[in-house]
Amino acid sequence: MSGRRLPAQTGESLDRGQPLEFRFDGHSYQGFAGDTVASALTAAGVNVVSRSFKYHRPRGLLCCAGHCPNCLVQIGDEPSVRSCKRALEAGMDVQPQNAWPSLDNDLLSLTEAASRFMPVGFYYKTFHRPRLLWPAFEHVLRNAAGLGVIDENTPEGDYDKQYLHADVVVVGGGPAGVSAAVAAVDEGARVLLIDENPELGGHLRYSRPDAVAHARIVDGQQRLLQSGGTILNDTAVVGWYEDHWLSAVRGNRLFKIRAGAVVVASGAFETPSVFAGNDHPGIMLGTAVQRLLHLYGVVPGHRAVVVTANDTGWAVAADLLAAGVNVAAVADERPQLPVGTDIEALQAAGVTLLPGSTIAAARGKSGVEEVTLVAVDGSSGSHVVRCDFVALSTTWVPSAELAYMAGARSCYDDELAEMRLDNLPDGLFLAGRVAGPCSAEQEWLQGARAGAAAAGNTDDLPIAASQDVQATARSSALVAAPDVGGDKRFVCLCEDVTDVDIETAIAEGFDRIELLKRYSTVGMGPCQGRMCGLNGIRLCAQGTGKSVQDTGRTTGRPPVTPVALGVLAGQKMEPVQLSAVHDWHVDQGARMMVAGLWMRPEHYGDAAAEVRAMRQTVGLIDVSPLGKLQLTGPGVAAMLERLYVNNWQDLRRGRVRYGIMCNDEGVVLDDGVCARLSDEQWYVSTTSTGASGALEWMEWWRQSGWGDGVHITDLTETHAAFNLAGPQSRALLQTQTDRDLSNDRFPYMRARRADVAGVPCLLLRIGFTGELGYEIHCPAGYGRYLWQRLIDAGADFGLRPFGVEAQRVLRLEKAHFIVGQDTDALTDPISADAAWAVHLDKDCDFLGRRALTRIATDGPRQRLVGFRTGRRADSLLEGLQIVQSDDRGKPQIIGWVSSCRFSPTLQETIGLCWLPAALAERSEATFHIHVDGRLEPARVHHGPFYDAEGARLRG
Amino acid sequence: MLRLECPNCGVRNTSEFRYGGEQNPRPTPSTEVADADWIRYLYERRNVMGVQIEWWYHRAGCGIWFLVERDRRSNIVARTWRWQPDGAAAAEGSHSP
Amino acid sequence: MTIPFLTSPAEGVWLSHGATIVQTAAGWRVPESFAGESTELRAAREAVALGDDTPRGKIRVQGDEADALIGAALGAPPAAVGRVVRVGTVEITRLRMDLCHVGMTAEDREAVWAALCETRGALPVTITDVTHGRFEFRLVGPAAPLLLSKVCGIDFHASVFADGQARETSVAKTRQLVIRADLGGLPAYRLLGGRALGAYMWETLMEAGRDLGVEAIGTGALLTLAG
Repeated sequence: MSGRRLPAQTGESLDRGQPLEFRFDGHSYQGFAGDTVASALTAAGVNVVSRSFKYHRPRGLLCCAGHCPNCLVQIGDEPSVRSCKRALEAGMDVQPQNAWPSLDNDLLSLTEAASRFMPVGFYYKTFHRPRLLWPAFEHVLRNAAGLGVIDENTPEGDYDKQYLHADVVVVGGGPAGVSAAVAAVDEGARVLLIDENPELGGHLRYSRPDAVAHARIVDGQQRLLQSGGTILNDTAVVGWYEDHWLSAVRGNRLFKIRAGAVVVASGAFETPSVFAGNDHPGIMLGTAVQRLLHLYGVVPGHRAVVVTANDTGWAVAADLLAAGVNVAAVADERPQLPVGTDIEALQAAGVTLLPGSTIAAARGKSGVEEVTLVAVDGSSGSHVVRCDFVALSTTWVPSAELAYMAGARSCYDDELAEMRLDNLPDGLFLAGRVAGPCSAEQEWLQGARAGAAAAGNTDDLPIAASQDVQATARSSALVAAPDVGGDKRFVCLCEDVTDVDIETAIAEGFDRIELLKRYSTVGMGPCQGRMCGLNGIRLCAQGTGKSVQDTGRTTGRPPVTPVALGVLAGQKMEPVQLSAVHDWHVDQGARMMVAGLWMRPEHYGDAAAEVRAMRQTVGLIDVSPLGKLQLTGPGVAAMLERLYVNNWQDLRRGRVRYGIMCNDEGVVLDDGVCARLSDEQWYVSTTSTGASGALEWMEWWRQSGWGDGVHITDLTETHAAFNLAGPQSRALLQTQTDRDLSNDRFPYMRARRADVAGVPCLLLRIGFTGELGYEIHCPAGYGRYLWQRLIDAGADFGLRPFGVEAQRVLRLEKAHFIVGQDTDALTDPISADAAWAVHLDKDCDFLGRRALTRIATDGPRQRLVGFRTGRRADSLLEGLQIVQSDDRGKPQIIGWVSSCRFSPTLQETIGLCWLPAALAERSEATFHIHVDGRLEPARVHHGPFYDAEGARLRG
Repeated sequence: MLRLECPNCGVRNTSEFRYGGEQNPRPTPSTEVADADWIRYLYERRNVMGVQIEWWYHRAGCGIWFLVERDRRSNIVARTWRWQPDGAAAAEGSHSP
Repeated sequence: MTIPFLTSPAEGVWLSHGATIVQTAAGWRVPESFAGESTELRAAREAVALGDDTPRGKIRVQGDEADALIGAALGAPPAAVGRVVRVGTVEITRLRMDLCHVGMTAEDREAVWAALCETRGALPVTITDVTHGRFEFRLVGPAAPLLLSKVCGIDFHASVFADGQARETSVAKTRQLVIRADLGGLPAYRLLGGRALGAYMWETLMEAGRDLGVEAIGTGALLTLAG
């Protein structure tokens, strides 16, 4: 077929000087710049664009407005593209979806022959038993169903998001929307006008050219931009959330928009009617025909039948006639033909005009070839008319999804046979066709009023109500055409649901609209009920004997239109914290690990060697992620007394003490060392991953009454921190500082300020690893320099950098617990073998006092205790359970392993575990760890595994 | 997304804040409070269907903890304010929406 | 003994953007230039440019008497929350009623620090030098507000966030202090956030600004813009 492209049309979007080649289903075609993929296909004579979801019936364009599923295609590696919205590009490789091996010869269309065996609810009824076979069924069904193909090798796309703010957001760039935007900007508001099309105009873009109305749009757009308004074209608003928060999508960008008020001027769209064979390619909506004609200069065929229930269908018919299309017949549901120039033109051309009639059936092979037109009331005979396409202009549905999401209610207007909106929430205004039929003049007036009101002008601008408009614009009240037998009558084209399916579902008891939807899947496909929603509700009402109003509607949720997952994901934004020495670690080949937001070196290739070096000579670890808080003021000691289980008032200047912080349940929240630098200045360290939580916890108590005269400053990132530890650490550090590091002048658990390699540092002599060691805190800007100086100076001392893994082993050899590793949300310090830190005799009411007093009195039920194995046991892992046979020989879980490593120092596997207190108290008692069905023995060990007296620390 | 008015910074998206639970003053001295009151403080939340006074923390902003009087049925916030020692200082320094 | 050098957290990522690095008198290693001054200036004047000002001094003054101290030490008390007061090259930004951020050039840092500490006396005010705790980046150019709107949910429209205003807010999922401090007649912002996030922030801003034509700008071109 050829000759579908018309001569240039007024207002068309084409650049006819720029032809574009593209491919569809293996064939080459040509379109023009400005075409959509669908318009180019139509111009090329392609009628069948896709196959349907269930029966694999051939489908062609229906709405040309981005709603229906019929035009979904695969373009390159992108599945489910709406070809009626996608601009044609040169070289596009367009593939049909849901057809195999080809669109014309789809083997799965045989499923339709079996359709009498596939009733509504078929999947629920059939495949759920025997359950064992479901995986096999699923494999077949998944291949048969689904739309498009995901290419797992598709490169990551560039997606991003943007936040926008406006006093007034106007959704829809038709006459009402433009008028609203201009009115709002005239009131001094910041206005954002969002439209889904490439240019403003709304329905004016594709209806019969109207120079006056068009000039108004152009003028409005200029005024808007001159007054500082913003226009977003090609942008779909897809969601409405609390506090006037909108989401919108343009291409690969997600907009998150905060609006003071919103004017919804999103118009209305047509939906198809229910009759036999209503899915044949060539049967399309009147507005689809108008779009093809006026925007792209294309007619979908050469012999048309127009079916309508209002005056819009007559305009379609007259436009087709003027474009040289043979209009075979026009059927109008209304008993009387309307009057007007369109009718006169059609009459003059000798077109068959049938008042009181509608379409009852369509027939054809790969597209519509003839239709049966019947009287609506069944009073007279039928007309069989040959045609190659049908324009349906029968039913309008307001584009009100956003208003529904915002909380507006639907109410069915029986006069108009259309949904209307009421109960609008604050800050939501409607204008134009979405609020009901209106004339061109009313659209402008409504827009102006809504825009002004949204901008805060509450003056009541008059709008002339017009009954005339309602009479000429009402929708069809027919639930379905008179039944003349023949082909299936589809309600939902996405899911191939027919009127019989709906009746069956209701008969089976699914007689509420929400249940009916879920059972029959009506409205659950790509169009999300846009094409079938009203028909489904009306059929449900008819089947249950309820009114349409009482039947209600299913809940609308975001997104209004499909959104690519990449758009929701947006730009990759995963904050990561790096120490000042990070680049050095990476250069040295460190294996990096994630710890909270931080990246830390796990090891530099050989953790065991790192452990040995540190025990024998000296090691250096980057502990910059440690939480570091400065607390200042006269109230610090008193505050710490209440937040920690330890004593603090007696800590003298220059001294360091280990502290445990609990909540009122007595549960350990965090631990670390606190140094008193002066009477009123303290330096408090927290765990690395608990740093922000500890700060928020302390701030809460400080700001709610316990922080009188205390200031907290987070210095976590201000200071880099390194732990220099090992027998040679003093000698090494002494080469870099004039401060006397001798044990007398700088003993264990002391804090000193010192210049190290010319950098002002705070030194803490502490020993998590069990050796002589110094934690060096320096301003982070110097971190990279100081680290390098220590590494260089350490060459003569056998220094080796070590990572988190070695540190875990080293601390385990000292039986120190790690908060979050060996403790959980129920662990108290007494059970965790840190009762020595808990001072119940403090004279203040500290957090956890009551709970810990009770635990101290009753004794803990479980205890954290060390264990040794006397051998290398690599099968022992953290998290394994400890079991014991009960009286009847049945194994019971009595505890678990919280830390476990092979100790290079002791040459055996050691760990920490939770055991019943009675067992934990028995040193050398044997118990068993459950490993893959085997029982591995281990012995209870009390105290540190290494240097139990702590001589190495203090020396 | 809902918005919330920080008494220090003004109105911001709720994603800037951390919720801190309903206001739940600690009975003191803890060791002398009746068991029932202590259990209520530790474990029982009123979870009202209506107006609640609750804590929020401006994590991405100024770092203050503040109190919010919010109707949990409508999310309407009547007022937000910083805690004051005398307990009645709601008016001072608070933003009224 | 070698002279200590100081690094910005973004040094590693500058290098991947082709930075030429020099050391300042105070020891900071800074990116003098990236793609060349003319390219950098064009981006700043026509699109947006991202520079590193991390060496700038940053002092935190906390306490109910902070106003009095700052007024006495620096000659002007802080303004309302979210407002900046400029005294010479010193910028005083009030963050809370009891907390101010004082920013200054790296050269002025010691003098400002000394002035504050000397004036403090017995006032219950905590003065903390957090120069090393924050990166400080500079976004300059007509598209700077647009770039920020891609990573931050607050409103950057000049009618609500003008030169001399500041906000603490979430930028690219992290807590930041954003100060609008225009430069050479161009819209410009300071971004101050946790130092350890510097590399992440630099890369995230460059990525977000790619479609806007963002360029990294060196200290040389920034000086030219400042005139």
